[in-house]
Amino acid sequence: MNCDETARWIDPLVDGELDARNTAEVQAHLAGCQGCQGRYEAHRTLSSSIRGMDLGYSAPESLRQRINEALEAETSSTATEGKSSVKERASARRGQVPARSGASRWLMWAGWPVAVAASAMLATVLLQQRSMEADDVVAAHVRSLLVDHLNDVVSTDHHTVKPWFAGKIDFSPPVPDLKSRGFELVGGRLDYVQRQPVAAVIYRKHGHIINVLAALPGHGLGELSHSERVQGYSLRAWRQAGLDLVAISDIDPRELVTLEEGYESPPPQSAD
Amino acid sequence: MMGNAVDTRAQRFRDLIEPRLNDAYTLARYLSRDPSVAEDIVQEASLRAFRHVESLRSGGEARAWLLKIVRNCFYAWREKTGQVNFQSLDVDSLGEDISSVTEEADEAQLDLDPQRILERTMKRDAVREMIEALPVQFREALVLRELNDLSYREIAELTSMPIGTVMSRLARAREMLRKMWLERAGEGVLS
Repeated sequence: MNCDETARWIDPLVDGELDARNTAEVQAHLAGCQGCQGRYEAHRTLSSSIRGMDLGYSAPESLRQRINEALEAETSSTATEGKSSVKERASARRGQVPARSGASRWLMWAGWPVAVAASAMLATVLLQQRSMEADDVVAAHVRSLLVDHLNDVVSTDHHTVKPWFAGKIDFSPPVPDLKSRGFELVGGRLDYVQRQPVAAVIYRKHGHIINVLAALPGHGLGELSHSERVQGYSLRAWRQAGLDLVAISDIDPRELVTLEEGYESPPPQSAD
Repeated sequence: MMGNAVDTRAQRFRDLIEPRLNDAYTLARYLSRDPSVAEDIVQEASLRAFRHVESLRSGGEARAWLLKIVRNCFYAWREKTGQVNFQSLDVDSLGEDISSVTEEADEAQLDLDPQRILERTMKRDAVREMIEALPVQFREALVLRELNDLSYREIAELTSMPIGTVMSRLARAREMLRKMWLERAGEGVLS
């Protein structure tokens, strides 16, 4: 790892956000590079000074009171209004928000339908939940390509790769032989998505690397849609044998469909 | 029926949102750099949070969720009031420092030596000013991380940015802050 690569990981190291392998690599570089070590120390000191200084603010009591009053107004209007439309209720609420300070005049801009805007915002929150997971899958894929961290077990033989996961993770990911479909098995490794351990099985086709991540249901991969593109990568997610799987690569998305088919109907092979 | 739904909502608000109002106010304060605007932002955000508090699946995500609403309210205010190019320290935020020194001295119960309280408060205000002087995208990354204590993942979700961008903004923010800190230390403001 050189200084440019290290620079990128210094703050994640300060923040404890770096995985074990990258931590080891960055620390190895820091040990031999005064410049990077100095930058790391500076950022670490800065971070702990800021945290030690108690720079946050307490919400003033007057603000808490204002909020309570506004919420009371909100609940009493909701309780007494019966069947009025969403729009009417929204305007009724607006009328009841007390505008105390002079600066709260800007609240007047809330003259657009608040309820509609708020539900749009909510949808965004939910969408982002999913794309966050997708981003994480992409991050795992990119990490595997960036640092020399593609495989923890290197083998073109699925009889070697599959047992390697035993004892390292609570489930056994499928490792089908997909040679007949043109996918060459490269190896396997453990990774993390949404802070959950996942099994990664790596294939290669026409020089493209494909990571196939597997996790227990609801452990990091469950929110992905069947097929999507994120940051230029294709993702294909499916559920198989009680596991959530997702394949990711920069390969033609149709190849991922072929890969998924190969997973779901592996060609005949000797006893697994 | 209706009353029950309202009660539940009020209860959820008290359990999940109210304990995070200091976090909300801290973020609003640093983003807007104006105490009374920050109050309005937090009030508006609280109302929105109240209306949608049912959608929160767990208490664990409440803080990031509320802060996301605060941030949205801030950007809406900023756009509406045309403060987009509002960059340097403004006179108002300097003017209110005097009152905040006395307010915060009251809060600092641990060490009652007036000299030390004054030094600590002055140092704290100096650092707050430096954070406020950061451009908004770096300021929010730093505040979300160091003061609101969110993870990279939470910040990425909240700001709709890739993790890589969060990483680089935080690194830039710290670098800018470090330079300002060194300059101020040279002037004897900070040790």
